[in-house]
Amino acid sequence: MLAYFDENAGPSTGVQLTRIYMVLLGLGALLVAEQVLAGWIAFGERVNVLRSDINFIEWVVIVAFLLLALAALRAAWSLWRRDQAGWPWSQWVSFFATIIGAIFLMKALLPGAIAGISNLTAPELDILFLVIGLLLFASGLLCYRFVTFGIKVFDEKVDKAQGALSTAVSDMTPGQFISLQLAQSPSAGAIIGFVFIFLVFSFVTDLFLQPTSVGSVLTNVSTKGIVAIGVTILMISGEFDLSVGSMLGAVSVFYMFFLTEGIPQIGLGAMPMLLAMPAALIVAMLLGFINGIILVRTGIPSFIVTLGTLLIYRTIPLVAIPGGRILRYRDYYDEFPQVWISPWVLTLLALAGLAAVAYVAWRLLPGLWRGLQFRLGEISNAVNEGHFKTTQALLAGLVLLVTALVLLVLALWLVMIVAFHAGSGGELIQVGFFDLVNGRWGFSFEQVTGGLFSILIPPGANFRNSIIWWLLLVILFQVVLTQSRYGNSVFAVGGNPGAARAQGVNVNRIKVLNFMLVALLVGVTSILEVTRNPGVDPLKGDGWELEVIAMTVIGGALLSGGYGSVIGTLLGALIVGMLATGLVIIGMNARLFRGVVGAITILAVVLNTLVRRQST
Amino acid sequence: MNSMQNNGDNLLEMRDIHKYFGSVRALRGIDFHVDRQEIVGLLGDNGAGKSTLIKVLTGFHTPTSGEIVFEGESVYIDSPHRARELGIETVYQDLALVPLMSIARNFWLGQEPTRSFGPIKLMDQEQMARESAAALEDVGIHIRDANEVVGSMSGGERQSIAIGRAVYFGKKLLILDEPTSALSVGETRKVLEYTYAAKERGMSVIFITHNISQVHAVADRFTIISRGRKLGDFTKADVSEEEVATMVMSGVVPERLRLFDPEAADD
Amino acid sequence: MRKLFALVPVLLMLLGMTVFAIGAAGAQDDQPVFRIVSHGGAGNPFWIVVIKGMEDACALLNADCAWLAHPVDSVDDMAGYWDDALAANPDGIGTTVPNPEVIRDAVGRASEAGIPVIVLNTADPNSGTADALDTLFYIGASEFTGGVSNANRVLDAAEADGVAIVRGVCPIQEVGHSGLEARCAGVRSVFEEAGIPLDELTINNDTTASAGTLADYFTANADTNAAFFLGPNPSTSFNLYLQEAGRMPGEIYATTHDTSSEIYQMIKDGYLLQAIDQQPYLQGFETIMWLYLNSRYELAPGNDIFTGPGVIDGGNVDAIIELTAAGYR
Repeated sequence: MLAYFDENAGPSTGVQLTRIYMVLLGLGALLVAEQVLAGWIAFGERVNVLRSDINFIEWVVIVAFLLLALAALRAAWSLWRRDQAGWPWSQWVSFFATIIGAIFLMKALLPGAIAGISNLTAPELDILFLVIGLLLFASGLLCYRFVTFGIKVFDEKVDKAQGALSTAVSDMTPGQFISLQLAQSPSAGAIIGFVFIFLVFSFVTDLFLQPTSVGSVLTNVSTKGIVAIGVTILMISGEFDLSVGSMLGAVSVFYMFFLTEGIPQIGLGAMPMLLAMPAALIVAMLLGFINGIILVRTGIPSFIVTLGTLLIYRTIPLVAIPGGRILRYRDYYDEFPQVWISPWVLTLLALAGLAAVAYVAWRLLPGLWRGLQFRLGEISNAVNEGHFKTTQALLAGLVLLVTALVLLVLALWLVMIVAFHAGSGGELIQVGFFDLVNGRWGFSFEQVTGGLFSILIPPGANFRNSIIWWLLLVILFQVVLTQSRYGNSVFAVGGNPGAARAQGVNVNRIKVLNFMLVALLVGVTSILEVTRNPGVDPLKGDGWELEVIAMTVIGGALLSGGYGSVIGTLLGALIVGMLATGLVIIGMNARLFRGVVGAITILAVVLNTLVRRQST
Repeated sequence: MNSMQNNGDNLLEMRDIHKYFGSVRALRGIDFHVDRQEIVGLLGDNGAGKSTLIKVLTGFHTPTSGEIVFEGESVYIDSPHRARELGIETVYQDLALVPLMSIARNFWLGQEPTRSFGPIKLMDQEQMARESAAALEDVGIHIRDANEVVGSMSGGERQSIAIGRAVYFGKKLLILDEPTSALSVGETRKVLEYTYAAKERGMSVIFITHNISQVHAVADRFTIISRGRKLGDFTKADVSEEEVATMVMSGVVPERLRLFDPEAADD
Repeated sequence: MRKLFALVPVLLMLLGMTVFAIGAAGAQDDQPVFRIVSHGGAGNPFWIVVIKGMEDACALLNADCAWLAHPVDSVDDMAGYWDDALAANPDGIGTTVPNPEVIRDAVGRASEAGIPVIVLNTADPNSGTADALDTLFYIGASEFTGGVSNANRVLDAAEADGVAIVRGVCPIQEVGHSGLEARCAGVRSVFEEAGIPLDELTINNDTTASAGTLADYFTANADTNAAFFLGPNPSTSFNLYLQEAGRMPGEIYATTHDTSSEIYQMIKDGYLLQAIDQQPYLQGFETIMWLYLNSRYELAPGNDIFTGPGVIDGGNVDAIIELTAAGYR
């Protein structure tokens, strides 16, 4: 190994083997990618050789193996040229080969393992996957150990020669680097859990990645996910809201009454669509304000306060809708409300959106590009820090790529809308109002969106606008929490109220505002739920609080406050959603269902705690 | 010892402060002053009244009677917020920083710099990290990474950061409440160094403690309080460490240093 | 203000005693006197229909009747109400039996006094054993029979269409609820006999979430073409699922229990074959009638009387909607 860097000596056997391994791995990966592309290796339920369509997971496999092949060949090339970058490249390649091997092993072994607790029949063991998996896993692990050991020895020699202490960061192996990244993130447990549960369900049943299932996960979790955003921020500020379920019931009832009969007792008639929505949100924020003001005025723990309002707010729908009735929009009106929109308005909106996208791209991309160039420069300059800087460069490149792609897709879509409406001749477009708020993709409002979704979404798959609202709110509040002064205060209020107060943060104001934020998001959710199913029963939202808190806690937020993230909660929500859908799909015994969800909640939180403990 | 009498260079002067809680006379006519660029050790046994005095100064209590003059102007400090506005910063041992937040975020908490992104104002995290690291460096505090979480740091490091923060934001008077009582010898020395650095940069410091050995090295002057009254002001040159310790314990001023007899003046 | 609230229970008690006294004084010698003791009362719309049945029967017989129950729901209060009922020296007493121990002593005194007792709505769980209360018979719904009726209806309808039922599903909104489980058990008994698999599915009362669960189930089990819902909320979820998945009437042979305006609509639209109604009006009406017949002429039916399964389907749904508005359903 040391001889590698000694220009005069010939390479050792280990180095020779590593070179050969990298070449073989590169060629093998190319082969696998080619075979999947040609349809000879199938991931998914359709195993006919001649099929022309390649499903999503196969595209992922093709891209992953192409990248692996490129990296392996790059490593081999470096090793031949005897430059330093060869080692970190080899390290990363063997690291990923090990992981891919492990995934293949899971794919081969999991379905049989899971068949015991579901109504799936255990499939035959897939020998091809088992062999590829074992080979990749074992060889990758061996190579990784060898290279890591070699780098360590080399580092020590260089350190001795230079008389310098190498800093901790530059010495990190890929494994250490990833575990450090995870440990620094509040959502580590959620990330691991998400990847694991996603892989398990994808491997166990082909139905899991079908658009119908994906739509079901996203649509059903989106509304709870929106509430969970607020609950997370509130929990970070050290408080707790048990009343969200009751609040949802109450606000839904108010919204429904605003839409239909008004509240005659106080002389309020039915409101127009656009007025009922803000009215419902105001009612929601009032309920949240009551929670908050009781908390700060009395100093009673929020658990008790919101336990009380959980019971109190539930009486609103119980009194308002007597007798097990279900309050239905259709009992008042035969037709759902319609709105007419001028295509020119939509075109203008799309153009404004385009401008916004261009502005964001202008502000973001050059910086990211410079960052990438800087990292790339560092690789070639670095003497002893190659592997760490490689990782940084890879990350920077990935971020740039994803950002650029997202912006490009958004821009293309907006252009599509403009093109779609520009040729329409200005005729007013009629859309269901509820569809506009929370319609199904590809069916209810494709005239508005330029027909994008009907291309992507097959009939029967239930994707709804609430998914978009959810993701937008997640991004918005992640930014608010991590980038704004308000977010900084929220963390401080939960982490050490005394210190926050000492620095001039108005602790009570932040807490009350957070309760109102939760309530506002509950209000948004009420509107989305009512527009999906225009009916409210008195128990609407019953039990939501626990599910939402589970999402938040799985997502890494601490019940004691001061720690957590909105992105983590997004993953927590997705975990809960994947479990709900996945367990039904694999036919988990109905009586075991809740127990499994409970066990996985505890596991996720234990994982969070373990990872966090490792970081300190 | 008359050298420390008012010479017009006062930053803070508290005159004849009384504070009664019902029938309990916590402070019975205390005169207390701090000069510019001076480190004053405020000493007294537990229950002597030193925290009450500080709470009057920082706005948690309003005095029953008496006057506070800050920078030559009579001020009425009725809230902690008002005290902060005047430039009085208190560093409590456990309330200084938020453990789960990074150094930079703690440093700027409550006055984060922002940059505009269109109509939206976001925290300028790069500036926060850069300036906090530079500011701490300025008072001699070396940190590895401004984005490191405070929770992994020692008590002394946290105190130091809080001191550095007060210096950076141009506070005039820094109050340290028992800052070193839970620290190791080495850490205590560091905190004292930073306290001294704060003085060098123009701040005055009140160092509250019941243990003279902690402040003797840096303090310019000691004010000793006993049972709600001031025993006296003593410059470091005038008294030995042992004499101060005895006074704090016994509440009696030795004959050699006696200005007046506090008990005699009571009636 | 607070003192005023403290007075409320006292006032209520006084009011109850006054009403009771007036009722007792008004009873004439030849007028039959009946009492019904229940665990729920006028605060709950379900019981309103039962009470209307009782009142209509009493008006026909010119009897002196009273419904003795906590206005919303209390099992423990029944012991006190039984004492009130016995104090009126009635010709017969009807009672629900959610917990036999609460009323065992009082029922014993009634049988010593020779007062006939009929159980309505909620049957004695010990019925048929040595621990059974000394009562005549039970008037109420049979959840199990309702399930059987639904299953048979589905099989018949499929046969008429020339369709084979491949697989059925019974989504339970409250796993462990004895009444709901009995409804499913009824379906299961028919399906086991026919050799058709029946899946259990856990849903909940949240209509949108349950619609998602149903979608997941039908994704995984596309061959399922029979579904048995157990209440109004699950039926609403089913309706939502049908819309979201774009499924047509007749693709899934489905039935439900209980009633709601949405269920009526779904029956009209052809998404539900039938709904099982336990006909609460009958429970009040028949209890009084049989107490009258038994106390006067020692008449009794040979067995328990089932007020359900009453079937609501495309043939009578319009009439049912009118009757619901009138308070009979």
